[in-house]
Amino acid sequence: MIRVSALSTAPLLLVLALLGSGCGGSDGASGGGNKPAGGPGGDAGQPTGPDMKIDAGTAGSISGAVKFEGTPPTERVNSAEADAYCHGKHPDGIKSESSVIGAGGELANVFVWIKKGITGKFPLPSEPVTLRQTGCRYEPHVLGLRNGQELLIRNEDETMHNVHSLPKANEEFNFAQTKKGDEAKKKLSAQEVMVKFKCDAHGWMSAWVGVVNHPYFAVTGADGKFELKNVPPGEYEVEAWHEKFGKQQQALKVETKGDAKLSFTFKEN
Amino acid sequence: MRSQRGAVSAWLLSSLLILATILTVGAFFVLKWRPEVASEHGRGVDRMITYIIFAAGFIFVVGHLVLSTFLVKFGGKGTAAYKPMTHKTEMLFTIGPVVFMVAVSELGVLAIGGPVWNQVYTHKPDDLVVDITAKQYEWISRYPGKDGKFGRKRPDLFDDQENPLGLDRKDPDAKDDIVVRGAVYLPVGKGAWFNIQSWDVLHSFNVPVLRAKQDAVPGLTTHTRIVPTAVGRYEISCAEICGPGHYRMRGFVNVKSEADFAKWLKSQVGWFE
Repeated sequence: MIRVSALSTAPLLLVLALLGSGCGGSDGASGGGNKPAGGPGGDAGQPTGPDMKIDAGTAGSISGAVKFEGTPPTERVNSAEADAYCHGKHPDGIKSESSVIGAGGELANVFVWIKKGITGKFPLPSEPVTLRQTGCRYEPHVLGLRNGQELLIRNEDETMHNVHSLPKANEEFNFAQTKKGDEAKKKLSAQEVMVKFKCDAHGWMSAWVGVVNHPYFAVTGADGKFELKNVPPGEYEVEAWHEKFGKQQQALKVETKGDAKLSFTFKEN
Repeated sequence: MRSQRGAVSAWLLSSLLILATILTVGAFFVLKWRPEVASEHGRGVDRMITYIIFAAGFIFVVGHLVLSTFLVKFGGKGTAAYKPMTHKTEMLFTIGPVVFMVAVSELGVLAIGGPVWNQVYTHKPDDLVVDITAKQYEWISRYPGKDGKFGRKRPDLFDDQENPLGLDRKDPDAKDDIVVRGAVYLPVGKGAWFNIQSWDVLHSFNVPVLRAKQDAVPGLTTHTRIVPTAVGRYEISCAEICGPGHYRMRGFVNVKSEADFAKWLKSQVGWFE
């Protein structure tokens, strides 16, 4: 027998080990801090007690529009060159959605909700609310859901996204969706207006999620209009929130079967 | 007495060493292991690399030849006797190689590398000035706009989506600053002077084709100068492990003809315009 094996294979093993160490590694973007519910800026927990029953015979509504006055801010365009997929979708860059203003000053993406005046527990819808990542942006940019309702987060792009929520009252999450079709279901279990979502892979991406204890919230569309239906008669404080222009509150009274009108005007800040 | 088994082992091991040497040297000449070069100083960097490889390669080849010869000549002959060296021999074999290596490597590198260093770190008055900001995990470039002045950056104004450089809108110089995410644009044949900063941790601005590599250090502004020599799109890949997303911290340097660059610059809108 020839004794060469140990000596001659040692360098080979060393080379293999060196080659091996260059590969592999783990994809990070995991983790994320744990935050107990009930921190500043939100009400902890779910409302309790029997389900509220709204009398359709007396319920009214709140409707109106949100406007912007002044010179609209520049629409920033972010280059997406670092990601080949996003760059392909947006060769001229991706427009920021932080101030979507119509020709007549109609302000979109305003979250309108009843801040004070509603108590009690409302049955939760069984359908989840969907937040899509499509074309390297979050769709919708602003959305609302019920405290405890499921939020379905889906990647519809052929690139990796990283969903990172930045709540104050809810639990933070931060996870990657590496491929098209990846889905995750999350629940936010404290009332919080608003929770910012960002994508750690694409700095320009953001979404805002309003988590509310009751069903009375809406997001303005391109026409700046909103409507809250099936509101029991009573006195309320309604808040309108915009990511760039801040918050405004107004008090109003909903009469039996009445439609209370409300308009908000935001100005340059 | 040499055993037959010992002799065969020595021959095999020696052949392996020779084979490894031939493969290494062969691969050096056969494989295209260096990316193309598209910057003025890049050729100087390549000359330096080539010189070091030849200097070290020569010692590598000679070392292996000596080792294989010794293996064949003395391998398997049993335990060697210990012969103490004289003080003179010891000094000669210690200081000799040190002086030789210093002369070969350091002086060679200084002679070839000195002018390259000068090219990379001399800011010339008519250079295009580009600001580079590194952050986990993105490269952001900034151009001074029409006024030719960079505006103030304030970390407290940082907002990833709305203001990734924390530009101060109250500073009139900042108004027309052009901010580009993930890309740098340069005109071919013209010097570009880079101010490099980091928002968070150590990064390294590394553009292999342009032979540029400069650390981005939090709290410091580092510099490098590039004169691109060929139109093209070259990858920036961070060369300093900066976190779990390091592998995707990339961007592109778009080298354009002077006319195309001017057209691009004209199409850009200032961050606060």
